[in-house]
Amino acid sequence: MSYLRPLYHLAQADFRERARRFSFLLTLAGGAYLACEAIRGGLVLHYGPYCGRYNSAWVATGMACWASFFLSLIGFYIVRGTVEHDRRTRVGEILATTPIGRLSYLLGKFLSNLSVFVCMLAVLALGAVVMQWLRGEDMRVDPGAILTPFLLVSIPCLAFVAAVALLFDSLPLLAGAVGNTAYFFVWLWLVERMDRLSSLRWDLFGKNVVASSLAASVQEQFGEGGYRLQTTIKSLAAAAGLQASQEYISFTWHGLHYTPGIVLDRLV
Amino acid sequence: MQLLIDHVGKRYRGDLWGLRDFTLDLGPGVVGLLGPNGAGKSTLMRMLATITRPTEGRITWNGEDTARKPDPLREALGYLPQEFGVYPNLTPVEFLEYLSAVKGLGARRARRRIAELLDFLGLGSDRDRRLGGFSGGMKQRVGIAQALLNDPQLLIVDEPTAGLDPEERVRFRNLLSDLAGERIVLLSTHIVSDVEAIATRIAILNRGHLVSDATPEWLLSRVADRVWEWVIPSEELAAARQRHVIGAAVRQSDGIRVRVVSDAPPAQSAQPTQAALEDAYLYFISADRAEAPR
Repeated sequence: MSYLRPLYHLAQADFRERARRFSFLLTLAGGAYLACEAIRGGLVLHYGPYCGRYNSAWVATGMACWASFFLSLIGFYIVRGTVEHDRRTRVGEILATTPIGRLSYLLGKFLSNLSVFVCMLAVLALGAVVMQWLRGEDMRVDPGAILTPFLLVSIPCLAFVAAVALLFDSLPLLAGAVGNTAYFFVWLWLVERMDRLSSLRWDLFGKNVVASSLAASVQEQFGEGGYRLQTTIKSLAAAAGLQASQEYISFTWHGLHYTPGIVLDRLV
Repeated sequence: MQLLIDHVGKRYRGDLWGLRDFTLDLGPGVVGLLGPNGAGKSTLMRMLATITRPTEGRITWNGEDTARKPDPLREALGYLPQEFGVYPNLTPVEFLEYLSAVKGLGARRARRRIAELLDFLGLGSDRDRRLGGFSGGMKQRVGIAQALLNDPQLLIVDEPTAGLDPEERVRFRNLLSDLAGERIVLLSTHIVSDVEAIATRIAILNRGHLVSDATPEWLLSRVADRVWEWVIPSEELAAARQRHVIGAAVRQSDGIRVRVVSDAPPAQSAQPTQAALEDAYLYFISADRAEAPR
């Protein structure tokens, strides 16, 4: 039996089943809202007082960073439950009577989880292009600069989330509300750990990769650095009584220059 | 084509056995596996379908031990589990394409087979509708379609009529009967009428062991002179239930006509009557219960 055909159909059926649910459309709408917020300036990615010109590299990297952060939490709850669904419907029993092995089954489910994320990233990538045009600071759309951050910042992070969701699904102890609660605390712990981490290799959200490139660019253009990469959500900042209308210093950033070392780190 | 269940047992935990010392030798035909809920039918079905392994004994398919080498049986198996669910957002074609791929069918063969099965099962005009909008009977037909994708030599269906309306049940029974031909169809149920018209052989299970394995004719012959009917006042029904295993109680103008299986006439006015398979089933189950340690 060909190995790829059952794997492909397993992932495809699972993906179709989820992609046709209303909740999936809601999630895509959430992604579109995130893009809208970024377009109208409610969501700003900045490196200390510096904010990049809205060229393809900057808008896509911003979207990719936000996708890593938000979808690593929300995405977990969206993709989990697929094994439980097979158990509940007894489709899992039928699969257990076929020649397909456990590993292939899990791999198919993983690919399905990842496909759900890729769909969401596609919406955000489209949002990045629209955002670039609407901001009008640089009208030249560079497809490579749009896609690269999604491929190397968001996808490694979301592949990790897809695998963790599957792990939680497969362990009876972590099924249901216990797993949902446990993941929330795991995520909080990861956010805290990643915030303090300077290594590129274990940088789950891909933030350090972006920050180090921005630092080099700001250093080159303004001769200073040492800031942190941050996202300001203006409405939240205003609600917290913080100054939300800060004027950022604009600079031109041409995107991440991925070396084989960085690619390897992201794959790890 | 031979499925041999040889002194098979399944222990769940501690000393709790779902099935014990079960032996059955099966060839082509429809075999009805009858027993009350908790008798061990689903435990046996799951082992036969290679979902779980026996704790003791062995199951062989054409001489191959299915625990050691499950693939020969899996390639020849169609399985419809109890309370089968579906992916509600897929169409039957998409769902069957998916399962045909994991069963190892090539794309062209799968497409042809799916079209044949949907037509055969009366679902041809619903091929592009989502499964979530199907009735229970239609979903069950999709279930049987997936079980037949690989044209199985061994078809295992577990409580297939649960949740179906009477018309769907009759249709499903006829369908299984049509499918029998040169394959082994193993039909597990606790509803006697599901098997009485179509089974060529009936195995009765109770308390995790085999009570009887025989043809319907033999089972009927065992109770031929042991089925009685008589009319009692309705207030005596509770007392009659305590003394006898009542197979049927029908209210009529002069009281309640009760039907029991008993070696001797249960009352002076009791009249012998034609035995049915349900009487035989009750007879064997109640005899087995009587033997159970208290």
